[in-house]
This record gives sequence, C-alpha cells and structure tokens, in this order.
Amino acid sequence: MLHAIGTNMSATASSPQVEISADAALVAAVRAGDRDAFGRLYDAYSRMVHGILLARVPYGEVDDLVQDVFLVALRKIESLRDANLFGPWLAMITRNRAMDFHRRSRDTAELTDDIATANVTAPEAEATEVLNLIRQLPEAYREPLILRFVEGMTGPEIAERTGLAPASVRVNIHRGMKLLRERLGGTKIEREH
Amino acid sequence: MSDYLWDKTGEPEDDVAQLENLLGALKYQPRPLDIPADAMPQTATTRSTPMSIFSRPRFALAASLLLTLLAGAWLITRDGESPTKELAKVEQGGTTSESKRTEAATAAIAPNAATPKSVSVDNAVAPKPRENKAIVVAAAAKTHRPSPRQLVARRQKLTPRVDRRMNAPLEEVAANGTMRWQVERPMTPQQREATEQLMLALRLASAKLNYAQREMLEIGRSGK
Repeated sequence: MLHAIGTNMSATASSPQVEISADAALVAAVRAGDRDAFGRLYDAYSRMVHGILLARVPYGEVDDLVQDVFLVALRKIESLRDANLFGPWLAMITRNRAMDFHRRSRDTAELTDDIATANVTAPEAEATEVLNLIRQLPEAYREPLILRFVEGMTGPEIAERTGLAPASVRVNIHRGMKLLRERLGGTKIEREH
Repeated sequence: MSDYLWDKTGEPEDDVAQLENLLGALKYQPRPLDIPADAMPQTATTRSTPMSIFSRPRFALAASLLLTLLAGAWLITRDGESPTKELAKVEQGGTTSESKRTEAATAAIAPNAATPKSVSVDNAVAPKPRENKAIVVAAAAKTHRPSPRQLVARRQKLTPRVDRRMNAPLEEVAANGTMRWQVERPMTPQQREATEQLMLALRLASAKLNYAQREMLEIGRSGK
C-alpha cells in the first residue's frame, strides 16, 4: 500500500535558521509515526538531495534515487542521534546511495550520460552539457556549484542544509566558479575551431 | 567579488546569471513521495519488546539508583547495626542534646578536629564519624526543640563520661565505655626512663650549642 504525500516547496528557502530547530520536532514526529511530518522534511530537503545526486549520478536516474534516499532515511531515522543534524545525516545517506548506485551499475552495465539524456529537450541538453563540465571539476566544488546553480540555493542555505562550514562553502563556490569559467572558455574555443 | 554568487545579493555577473538560467532547467521538479506502509518507523507502543527496555536510558537510571541504594545499605549495615537503631538507642538513652548534636555534626564533618569533650555518646552506641551526620540530621528532624531549662537539666545529667585519667589502662578505658581516641596511653616505667634520658641528652646538646654560640660571638667581637 502506498501513501502519497503532497509537496510544498514554499517554506524551504525563506527561514533556514528556524527550520533547524523545527527539524528536531519533525524528526520526533516521524519517529512517533507521523507521515505528514516526514512529508515536510521531504519538502525541505528534496532539493538538497537532488543536487547532491546530480553531482554524482546521471541526470535521468536522479529522480528515482531521490525517492530511494528518503525511503532509506525513513527506515533508518531511529539511528539518527541528534535530530538537529537531520540535514547533514541525510546528505551522508545521499552520498552513500550515489556510491551504491555506481557499485551496482558496475555489475550490470555502465549507464552513460549520453544514453541517460537521449530524450531530453534542446535547452536541457545544453544544460546537461554544462552539468557534465561541473561534474568534471574536483569533488569539493561539484556539490556547492550544482546546489547553487541548479537548485537555486544560496550559499548560507547550502551550508546550513548540508552541515558544511559556511566559509568552506563560500570558498568552494568561488573557486569552483573560477575553474568552471576556465572550462567554459575552453569549450567555446573548441567550438569555434 | 560579487556577493550575488554567495547569497544572491547585489548585481549578478552575466555569466552567473546565464548559468542560473541554463542550469535551472535541471532543477528538482517536486513530486509526491510514495511511502510504503511498512516503511514507517514503528511507534513507541508497538516497538517495545521485553528486551527493548534494557536499551532505554530510564532503565539505566533505575539500575544505577538501585545499585546506589544497595551500596548505601551495605555500607550502613556493614557494622551490624543500622543508623535508625542507633538513633533510637541514643534517643532512649537521652545522650544527645541540641548542642551536642551540633557538635557531633561538626565531628562528623571533621572527625580529627573534634575535641574529646564534644562526644558524650557511649562506645556501644557511638556511630562511626561518617554516620553521625545522617543520624544528627535525622534526629534534628524528628525531635522538637527543647526548652532552655530542659537543655540545662539534660546537660547536667549528661556529664561526659570521658575517662581522662592519664594512667588508666586502655582496656579499662574501653570497658568504661569511653571512646579509644579520647584517651592518652599511660607510660610504663621503662618508657618514662627512656624519655627522661632523651630529655637529658637534648638538654646537654642544647647547652653545648649555646656555649659554642657564645664563643663564636666573643671571637667576632674581639676580631673587630
């Protein structure tokens, strides 16, 4: 039996500091069996999970993996010691799930981004091309850049959701942007030739 | 460097704005989360199993409390008598008074600082110093404050039975019911003789040192 929970993205970006303390209450409610509370956590963190996955797995696989990640989190929520650290805990589950995806796909067949993005529209194809460039950057820069440009999160919001230090997120965004500019410039030159 | 890249404040740079527009097409499209019925964590009522209570902090707290109580009971009853019984004896014998209780409490806190006079409890019923405090507190709580006249009468009646005879043998003192640490051990004739010899030797040494000091002073003066 499946139970559908509606999504509401409105409350995610407005007041992240308030939501940190609210997370603990939502986690407690989920532990008590409240499905709606988990739906609110899903609304608040689905962008982060999507962005982290997008930095690691093919675009076409991300949506299904987002669902998987939240189901894993729901099953393991009893193991979360500090309910205020739900975001970092979920980010860790997401990264592990992405690694698991690659481990499994190695056993079957390597799914390339070309296959995964075969049916996308032209703007999406161009976006996917840029996304691939970002995914070739060092690992530390990928996540913040994707969360910033794809998911539209601000730097402070990225730091708060993922549990990373704001200073390091800021540095990674700026350094990553610098590298991306270099790569994008190189791509344009290749195209011109 | 533009703040827009960090927190979206200020004017965006052209390439940053272009990237936002381009990559925004790939952003997460909200869709409902399907939660299987068996995926929800079990509630507290359904989760509790006979063994699960052992993993709870409440159980740990109760166990530690129980252990503390048992240890306390063992310490109290180790000498064969509970403080309540001792207290009852003390109260029946009338050997405690308000002022004595205060002194006994002082003795309980710093047993070495207590004077022999301050304890007027028989050896048979005298609690150990660490037990005094609890007993005194319990006694203070149980008994009501006597009038000054009663206190004086009780004090006269309860003259300390401390045996302060210098030469009384220790066994005799113990039999009298006074506490051992209140009594000075008498000296035997041999001990007394040895002490006198030691004192004589010390006196001789002191005299010799004085003589030497005087000689040195005189040499110093004549040298000047």
